[in-house]
This record gives sequence, structure tokens and C-alpha cells, in this order.
Amino acid sequence: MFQASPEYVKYLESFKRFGVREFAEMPVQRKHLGDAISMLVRQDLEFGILGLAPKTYTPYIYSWGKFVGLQVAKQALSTLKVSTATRIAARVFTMSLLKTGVYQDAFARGWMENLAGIPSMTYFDERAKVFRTRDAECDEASGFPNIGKRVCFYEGAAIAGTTETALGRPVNVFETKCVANGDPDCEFIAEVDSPFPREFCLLNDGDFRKIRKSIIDNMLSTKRAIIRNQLGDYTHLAQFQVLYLGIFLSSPGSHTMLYWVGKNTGNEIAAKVRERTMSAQLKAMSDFLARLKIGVLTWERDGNKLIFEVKESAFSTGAANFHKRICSYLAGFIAGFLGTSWKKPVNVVETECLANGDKTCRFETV
Amino acid sequence: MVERVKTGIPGLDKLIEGGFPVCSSILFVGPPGVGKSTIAEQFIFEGLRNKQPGLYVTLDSSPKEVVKSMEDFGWKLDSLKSMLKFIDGYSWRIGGASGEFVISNLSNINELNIAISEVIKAHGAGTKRKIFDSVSTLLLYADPSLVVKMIPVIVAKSREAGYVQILILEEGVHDPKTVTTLNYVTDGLIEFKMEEDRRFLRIARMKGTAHSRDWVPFDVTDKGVIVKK
Repeated sequence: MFQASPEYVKYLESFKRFGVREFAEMPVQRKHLGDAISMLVRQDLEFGILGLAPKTYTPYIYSWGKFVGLQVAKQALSTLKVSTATRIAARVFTMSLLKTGVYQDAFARGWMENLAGIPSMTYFDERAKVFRTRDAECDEASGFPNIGKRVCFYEGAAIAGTTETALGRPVNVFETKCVANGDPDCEFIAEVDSPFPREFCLLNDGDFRKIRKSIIDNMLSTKRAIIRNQLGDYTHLAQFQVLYLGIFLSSPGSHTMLYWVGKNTGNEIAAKVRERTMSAQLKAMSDFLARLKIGVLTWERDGNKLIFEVKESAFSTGAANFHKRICSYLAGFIAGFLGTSWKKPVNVVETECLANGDKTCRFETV
Repeated sequence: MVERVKTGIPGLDKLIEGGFPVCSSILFVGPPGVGKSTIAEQFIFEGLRNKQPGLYVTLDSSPKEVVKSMEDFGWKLDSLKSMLKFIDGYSWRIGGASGEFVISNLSNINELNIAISEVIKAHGAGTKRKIFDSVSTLLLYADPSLVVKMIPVIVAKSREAGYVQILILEEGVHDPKTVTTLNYVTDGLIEFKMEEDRRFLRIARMKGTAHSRDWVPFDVTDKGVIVKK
């Protein structure tokens, strides 16, 4: 499994405080934006990474989803009142454990309260050690066009990881239905004691173009209908950070990758915004970041440089002090947005960060 | 017979007839967190143990963090530190850089080129080792068209000076033209992938070396990387 950095373990410890409880009861980290972030940002992050090199990053995202499912389920289980009988049952292994409240609490409730989707077990075969889960309003693919492929690598893996924690046995899944395949919901078949998938449904350049176009269009549209009727189009900040921080903290090289993904998105957004004056461009960027609840951006000039302050950054608010500047996606986004707006290469560095013990996140052009 | 340097990872040496060819340049390509930098650190430590000076061009971590990462594996650097030189292309991003070779802004690739020349001069003759971690980060901040022109120069200069070098690339974060150039100027390519709890590497290309192209599993342990085959 992924070797979690000490910083990430620390973050997951802080995640424990959320436990499994109603979304409305979770401690509020962000006064102005609230503790939700557009699911489109989460989709952009994942499919931005996947698009870099699908063959390498698809098993990577699946592995990461499984790791996250495992870790979060461990945290959730540790906050639940689990009966001694259930604990013993878990040790001796019984598939029926999945039908108990432990599984429901650790998985289904947690899923919904983090606004990730609405899961329900639709088939259960104790003897064959197989079960099927439908995930309605899944935040991974909701709003995607029909590309005739199943794309929920992370969500499926998280189901596998969560179940694996409950059963103490290897579990892997394959997706049988998906919104991106034209199905109304996503659906996964999970098999206990099954090996890591040998092959994944790889997306090609055409698939990524369609997905990216849909994400960018949805991000820019202020008048579109809500994609998810019950959960709404925001996902919980803690859930988003578990994905983002995990990837960031897995390696120093992740900064480059996340900056790159943010830069590509900034490029595409600016290309569609097409404001002419600098102040209009900066205001458009600020409005965009606030609307998707990524952060509250203000700016000032310092000689030839532009200094940006981002309050309530979705990437670092509530994070522990890692002594690192972690808002790489955001730095990349600003660089991409300005580069396309000004039609010249722009780089942006993060000089202060909440996750570095600073009071705010600051960026500057270089 | 090709003269070789041991990588510091016996399992990897077995895959490539005993080590990397002297004066070769090897490209590492894979996702973040798979262990590319750890193998590179182990490679440079092996050189230091054998009195081969090392140059570490670090663009993703500070030199202090690289040293700590190496010491966390139990590799004692105390008496060897004088042979290891860093070019710090990371600290400018966060301010407050200090050290012998510090880049003030990575977008100025000439500064990096000059720093490498200075270290080559300071290191003198003989076999040496060099890590470039990572080319992807250089491509991020410097003009990619300049990087594509400059990397062959840096590789050739280092080869001429006796360095066995590893260049690290995050997979996918660059255009195909850049990859083609890097493939063209390097003598070897090692690819990495990750599947759940398992990490794999594959010798995709290695000049003057008979090798298999199979994926081989490896582990990152608290003592460093172990290639299982």
C-alpha cells in the first residue's frame, strides 16, 4: 500500500475529528465559503492527473482510492461504538458483517455525509463472497457526457478499501455501470479475496477531451441546472483534502504534477473568459475561485510583480502545520489563467501557506 | 567490455549486467511517490561510499530535506558530505535560500547551466555521479523550448566530465517532443509504475547492456530500495 508520509498520517488524525456525523454538525473551518467545494474541482483534479499518462495514473488513482478508503474507514470505525461481538466477528471473518450497522455506518453514512454519493447494496452473495453496490449521484462522474466507458476508478477503489478494512480481507472491485457510460447511476461489483485488477478501462485522448470540456463548461456555467438533485454539486472539504493532500504529500514530485494540472485548467478557463483589461481578468479569476469555493482571492501590485492573497484556501484550510506550501494546484491555476490572459508565460510561486503555519496563503508572479 | 558502476541496489545491478555503464545518462520515468528519488539517493550514496563525488541538482526539495531523507534510511553521510555537492533550485520558490550553489530563479536556465559547470570544475577528474531531480520541475518554470535545447548540453557536458547521471521525470507532465529529446540524449530508460501496494520497474532501454523488458517488483524498505527479482 502507499507509504503515507508522517504529515499525511497527521492529517488523517485530524480528519478523525470529523468522525462519522451529520454534515451539518461537522466543525466549520471556513467562515465565508463554508466547508464544501464544488465537485467539479475534485473531478478536474482527478481527471487532470489521469489525463497526464492514463496507463500509469489509472492504477495509481485506483491504488490511491483504495488507500484512502482503507484509512478513512479505520478512522470512522475508531469513532464508532462497535460491539465486542462485531469486533470478534470481524476477526473470524464473516461476509454478513457487511450487512451490519458497522459497515453501513463506516461506509454508507460516511459516503453520504461527505457528499460523495448515495451508495446502496443491491446484491449480496455470502457464499460467493461477492456483492454489488449502486452509487447514485457519485461525485466522480456526475455531469459527465456519455463516452461509453466506466471511469470511477477512485470511487470503486474506495469501496474496496472500506470493505477491506471491515472484513480484514483483500477486496477489489470492477465497475459495471457508470454515468459516463450512459447509465443512470454508477455500480460496482466487489469480490472478496480477489486480486488487484489486471487491466483497467483506459481512457484515450478523445475521452479526456470530452470529459475536460464537460468539466470546464460546467465550471463556467453560472446558470446550469444542479447536476445532483439530492446531494447538490458540492462535496465536503475534508473528503476533497483527503484526496488532494494524500497525493501532494506522497512525494516532492507531486507539486509539479498538481501545479501542471492547475495550470492546464487555468489556461482553459482564461481562454473562455476572454476579458481584455487586467483588472477585469483578475476579477473574473477571483469570482471563479469564490464561486467554486476554492478560495477568496485578492491582489495587489508590488513593482513588476503581482501579489495574491487567497483566504480560506480549499487545499490548506484546516490542515495541520506540515511546514510545506501545499496549494500547488492553485499556484498553477493562477499561472495558467494569467499566462493565457496575457499571452505570455507566467509562473507563480506560493510564498506563504496555512499548511506552513502562516496566517494566510500568498502567491506571487515570478 | 563496458565498465560499470554499481547502483547500490544489488537486485537492480543484476538486471543490467552489474550496474550503469560509466559516463551513461539514465532517464527515470514514473508517477510521484513510486520511489524514483529514493533509488537516485541510494545510487548517489553508493558512489560516496566508494569515494565517487556526487552532484545533486534538487528542484523539488531543499538540500537539507534530501540529506534528511537519505539519513532516514540509515545512510550515514557525516564523513562523506564533503564529496556531495548540491545545486539548490528549490529554495528560491520559498525564499531564504543559502548554500554554495543556489539558483535565484529557475526560469533563468543559464544560471543552472553555469552552476553545473562550476561544480564540474570543483569536482575534478574521475568517475562521479549526478542526479537531476527533476527535469519536470525545470520544464514547469523555465521556457520548455530552452530546456529542450539546454538538457542535451548539460547531459553531454556531464558525460564528458565523467558523471554517471540520473534524470528524473514525472510521467505525463511534458509534451511528446520533450520526451523524444530526452530519450534521444540519454543512454538508458527505466520506467516505474505502482499497483496498490506493489511497485514495479522496467529496464526499457540500456545502451550496451543485455536486459529483459519485464516489469520487476521492488520494495521501499526502511533500509532503502530492494529489487526482488
